[in-house]
Amino acid sequence: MAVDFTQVEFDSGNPEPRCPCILLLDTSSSMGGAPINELNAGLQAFQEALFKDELALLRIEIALITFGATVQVTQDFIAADQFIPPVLAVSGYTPMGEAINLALDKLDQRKQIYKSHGISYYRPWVFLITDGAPTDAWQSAAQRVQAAEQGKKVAFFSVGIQNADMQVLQRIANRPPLYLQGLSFRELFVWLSTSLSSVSRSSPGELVALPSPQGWASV
Amino acid sequence: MSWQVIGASVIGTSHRRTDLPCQDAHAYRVLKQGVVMAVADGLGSAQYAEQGAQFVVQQALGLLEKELAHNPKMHEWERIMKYVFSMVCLALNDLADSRQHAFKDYATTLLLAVVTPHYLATGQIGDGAIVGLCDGQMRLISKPQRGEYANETYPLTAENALDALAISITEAVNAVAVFTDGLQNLTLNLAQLSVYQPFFAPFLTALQKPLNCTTTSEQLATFLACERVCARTDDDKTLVIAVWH
Repeated sequence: MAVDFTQVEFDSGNPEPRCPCILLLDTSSSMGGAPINELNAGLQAFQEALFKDELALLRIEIALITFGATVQVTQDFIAADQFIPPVLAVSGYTPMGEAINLALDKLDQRKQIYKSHGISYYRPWVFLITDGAPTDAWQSAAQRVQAAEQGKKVAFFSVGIQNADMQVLQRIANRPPLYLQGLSFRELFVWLSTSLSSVSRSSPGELVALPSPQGWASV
Repeated sequence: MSWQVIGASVIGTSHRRTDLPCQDAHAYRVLKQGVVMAVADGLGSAQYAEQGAQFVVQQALGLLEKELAHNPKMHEWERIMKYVFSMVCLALNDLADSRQHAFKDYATTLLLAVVTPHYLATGQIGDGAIVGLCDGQMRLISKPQRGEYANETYPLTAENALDALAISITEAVNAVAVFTDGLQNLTLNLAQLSVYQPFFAPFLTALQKPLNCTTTSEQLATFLACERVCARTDDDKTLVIAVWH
C-alpha cells in the first residue's frame, strides 16, 4: 500500500518571516513643490508595486519616519498589504540625526516584538531620502549606523536628491549614497519594492541579487 | 521485522527560476545493525554548493557505517558524532584545496541519524530537523539552527562550525524522519518547536506495511515537486523517513 500523499497535511500556523523596512523621508521646506509631489507619487507607486507580489505582501512591513519641522513616525510598522501611502507636506529644517536615531530605536523595538512572538525576520532596511544636509547633530547617529552595519544589524541605504550634501551622506552609511536622477521617485520606489521582495524570499546562504539602480540613480 | 526507508531530494521553484541545480542531497543505508541517514543542504551563495552537499552525505555515510559495524554502545555516540563531523569537515576542506577552490564555496548544512533497535543518535550543523516517533507521536529530536535572520544558518564551512554541532542520543524509536529547511514550515510549529503530526501520519501508516521502497521514493519525489508543496515553499526539499515494521 503506497503512501497516500493526498492525506499529507501541512502546518499552517507558522508565521511568515518578516522583512521590515523604514522609509526615512526628508520633508523640510526645501522639498516643497515638485520634489514632495513626486515623492508622494513615488509612495503610491511603491504601494502598487508591492501589491504585485503576493508573498512580499505577507512578509514586508513598512514604517515611515518623516523629518522636517518635527521628527514624526508618520506610519508605524504595518504589513505591506495594509500600507496606505500618506500625502506628505513640507515644513521646517532637517533634523536628520534625530530621525536616524529614532529609526534605529524603532528597529530594535520591532526585533524585540518579533523575538517575543517567535517570528523570524530578515535583516531590516532603512531607506533615507534627503535633498539637503542635517541641521542637527548627526555625528553620533552616524556612528550608530556604522556600528549597526558592521554588526550586520541593519542595511542602511541613503539617497540624495537635488542639492543634497552627498559628502555627509557618505559619512553616515557604509554603503555609498546614491543620487536620484531628476525626481524619478517612481522608479526608485519600484526598485525598492522589487529589492525587498527579493530579500523576503531569500533562503539561507543565498546572496540576494538586487536589481541595478541605474534606472533612477546616478551611480 | 526490519526497517523500511524512503527518501527524495527535489529542486525548489526558486532554483528552477534562477537556473541553479538542486543543492540538497541525501543518502541512507539499511545495515544489519540499523539505518544510517545523511541529509545536506548546500548554501545558495556557495559556488559548488551541490557538490559540497553530495560529498558530505557520502563521506558521512561511509564513516557512520564503519562505526556502526563495531556495535558501539549508546553513550559512545557523543564521541563518534564529533569524530564523524570533524572528519567530514576535513575531507571537504581537502576536496576544496585539491580543486584550488575556497572552502566556503562548498558551504552546506549536514544532518545525520543512526537508528538501531536500542537507540537513536543524531548530529546536526545548520537548519533542517530530525524527528522521531516516541509514544505514538513524532517528537522534535534535533532542531533547526538559525542565525538572527530568516535567511541565515551555519554551514559546515563556517569558522568554528564544530562548536555548533548539536548531538542528541535517545532511547529507541520506531520511526525517524530527517528533512531540510524547505520542509520546516510545513512539518514543524517553529515557535513551540513541536511537530505537526498530520504531515507524518500517512507515511507512518504506509511504511509500517511492506512496500516497494524504490517506487515509493519516486512517488515521494513527485509529491515534493507538486503544486501543493511548491505553493508553500520555493526552496529545495529533502525528506528521508525510516519506519520499523
